[in-house]
Amino acid sequence: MRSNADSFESGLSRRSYLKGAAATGVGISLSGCIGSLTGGGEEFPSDQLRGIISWGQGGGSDIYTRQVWSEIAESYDVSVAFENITGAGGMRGIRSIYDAEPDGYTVGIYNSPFVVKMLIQEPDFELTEFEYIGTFTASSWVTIANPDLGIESFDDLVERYQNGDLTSVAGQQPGSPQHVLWNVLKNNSDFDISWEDYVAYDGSGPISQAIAADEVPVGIVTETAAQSIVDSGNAEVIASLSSSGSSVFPDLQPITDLGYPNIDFIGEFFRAFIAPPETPSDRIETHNEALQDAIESLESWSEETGNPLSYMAGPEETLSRVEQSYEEIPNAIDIEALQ
Amino acid sequence: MVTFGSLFQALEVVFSWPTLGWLLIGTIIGIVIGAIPGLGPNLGMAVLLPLTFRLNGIDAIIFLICIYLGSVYGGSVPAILVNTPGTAGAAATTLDGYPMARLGRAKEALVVSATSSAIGGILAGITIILISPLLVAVVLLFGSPEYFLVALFGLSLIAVVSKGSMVKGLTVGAFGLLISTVGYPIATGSPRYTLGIIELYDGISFVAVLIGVFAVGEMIKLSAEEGSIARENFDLGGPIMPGFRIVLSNTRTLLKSSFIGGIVGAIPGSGASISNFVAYVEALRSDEDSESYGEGNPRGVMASEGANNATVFGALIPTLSFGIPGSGSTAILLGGLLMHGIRPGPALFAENLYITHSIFIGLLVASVFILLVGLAFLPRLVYFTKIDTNYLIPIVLTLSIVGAIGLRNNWIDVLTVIVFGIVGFYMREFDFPIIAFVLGVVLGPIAEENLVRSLQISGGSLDIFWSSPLSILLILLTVASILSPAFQQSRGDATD
Repeated sequence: MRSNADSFESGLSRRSYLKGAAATGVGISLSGCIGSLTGGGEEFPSDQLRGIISWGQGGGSDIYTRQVWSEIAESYDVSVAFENITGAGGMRGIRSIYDAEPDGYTVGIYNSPFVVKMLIQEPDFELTEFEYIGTFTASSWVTIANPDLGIESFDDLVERYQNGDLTSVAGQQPGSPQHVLWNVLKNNSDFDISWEDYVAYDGSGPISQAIAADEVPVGIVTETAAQSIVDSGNAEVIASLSSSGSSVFPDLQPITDLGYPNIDFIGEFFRAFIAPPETPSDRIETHNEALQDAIESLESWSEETGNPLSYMAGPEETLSRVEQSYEEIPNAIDIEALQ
Repeated sequence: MVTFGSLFQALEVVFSWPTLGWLLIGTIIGIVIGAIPGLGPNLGMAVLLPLTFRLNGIDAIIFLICIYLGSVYGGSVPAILVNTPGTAGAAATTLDGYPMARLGRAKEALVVSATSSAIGGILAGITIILISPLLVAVVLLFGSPEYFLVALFGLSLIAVVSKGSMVKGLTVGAFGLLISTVGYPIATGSPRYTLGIIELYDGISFVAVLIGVFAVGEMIKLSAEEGSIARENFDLGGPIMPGFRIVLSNTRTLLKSSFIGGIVGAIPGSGASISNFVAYVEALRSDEDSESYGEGNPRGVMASEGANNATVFGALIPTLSFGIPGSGSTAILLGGLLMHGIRPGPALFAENLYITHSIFIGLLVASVFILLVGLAFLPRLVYFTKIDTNYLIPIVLTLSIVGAIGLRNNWIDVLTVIVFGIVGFYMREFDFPIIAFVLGVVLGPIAEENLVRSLQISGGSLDIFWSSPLSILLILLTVASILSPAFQQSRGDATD
């Protein structure tokens, strides 16, 4: 929904309006009123941006935020200061974004699996209150297995668990998206995978090692995390848990093609940029446009480094995907058991 | 075993321009940020990571890894001069380095530190390069049960360091373990002992604990003294050769420490913060003059410093082979690899071996550079030990607090530094072995995580812990470590 300030500006570009207002020397009091809506009556953004990263340095969220917002800040001709506010699975950083001044100068990153943390920790705010700038990357979760097992397909994998040939699966700690996926696939009668033993590891790397060493037969990781271990022949990829398949493994069949239900609310991992609640919509729009331009400019970086980057959804669509996760995840797992 | 083609290709890469330039700049930046308590490699690498975007992939990685290596060495400088480890990997260096400074032997300690760091790193690097094609297979020998047994072996060293009073050693060791249980355990995903405080969800930072126990604890003690840290007069411009000779005449300690550093570094979740203590305790255990450890024995400095730089080499093995970061620094390095399109995986030890060799050869060159800088310039810093404590204490306390904030942007870390400063002060006053405490804090999470996971895999059966030759070897080492104090005592009694 657009603000009154935007309606007032209809027919004029926001920047030309502001320049015009300044040039005609509108009274100081009027400038003050406009200032409250547009940040001091200056062109936005005219000051340093603050990028809050709720996860650690060197992680995917850190790399994307720094790369994309450095590009955006350059296009604005302003600087950007990044802060990694980590802890509580990202909650401290997300909380900092929530509490920040909604002036458009503070932005942050959101990872779709974070919904699970919100449901478990139940903070006094909702993800749906944030302003969403846009979704810029998505990847799918995949199942990988030790190649010596010779698992031929997802159906074969399901059958082996049903037969009791296999019992355990590796993922990250309880409450992680892999753990939710494990629950969904175990409890949904359409899948009926009787994998009883969930073995928790501290990241995709240790899961890959455990699969390669045959400590655990099967694991759930993101497609990008699976790439090198699969390429080296130490693991093989079995299925994509997202209906859109896998960009890393284009030949991989999504489970929906095999007749299984769509579980994209957790089977797909997307990242989006967010701003504090009540950030003026015109500023969100400015950021959204800058994001689209930055994604185009960073195309070669994306190709060279293998970090997928494309404009996937705008503010409203991103919000609706978050709402969908909020609705569907509690139906799939027992949140109380994780609290 | 070594593939010469990739080795020559790597040599060409490292000795080309501007790669060599980035290597030298990275090492210098690393030494400086390591030597300033509170900065450390994590912060330095994180800040500089985005700036590497314009570099080519190998230049960027060599630049970042040299920051890491340089900082691990640089951390020894304040550890020796003001009992404040610049990095967690230099905490054990304080145990003998600082007493040497108090005895007016700071310059000797700094030279021992530089020489051991460089040689320890070089030894580990050459070994790893020689066996690099086999490393993936070696990594795969270690599973959750083996990692648990390694941590258990580390905890068993509490018996070695608890000379005088085993009860005190076990008490503070258990206290350390208890502290490490705060937060979200990997196995259950439910918060533990967090009192509903979100800042405690990730547990108590052991780095903050180390800063508190060593730096703040010592400053509290110093506040009761007049004058400067160095209680003995010394010549600021003295020769460097004595320190150099000490290292060369104790090659066994150095070799062992380097080996320990490389092995411990390769264990995910450990890193230099553990290896320096393990190497120190092993040097203490095997030294006939073990009573002089803690009083200013240069072999204590050698052990810690010989191990921590070797750890950097070891830590790269799981990082490069499976993308498993063993520490905060390697996590950032992993980010750098991904940012530059270098995907960690077994391929880095096969068809892309030249990349791995370039990184290791870069580190070898950086080690030589560390030696040159460490011998030529850093001994001049002994001047710090002559500064009046009235000026020094506020500086160290400020750096400790700022450093605590910089760790995770978390106020709990500041509180941790203060509380454990007081705890550390009283531990020293009442002769509780601080190393036992540190072993508990640092090894607790690794032991717990791998114990629980091993039991998950085995369905609760303990058989998993002696199911491989490596497990049995680790059990034997642990038993030997626990029994060694009793054995040494009975041997001493028999001699008497």
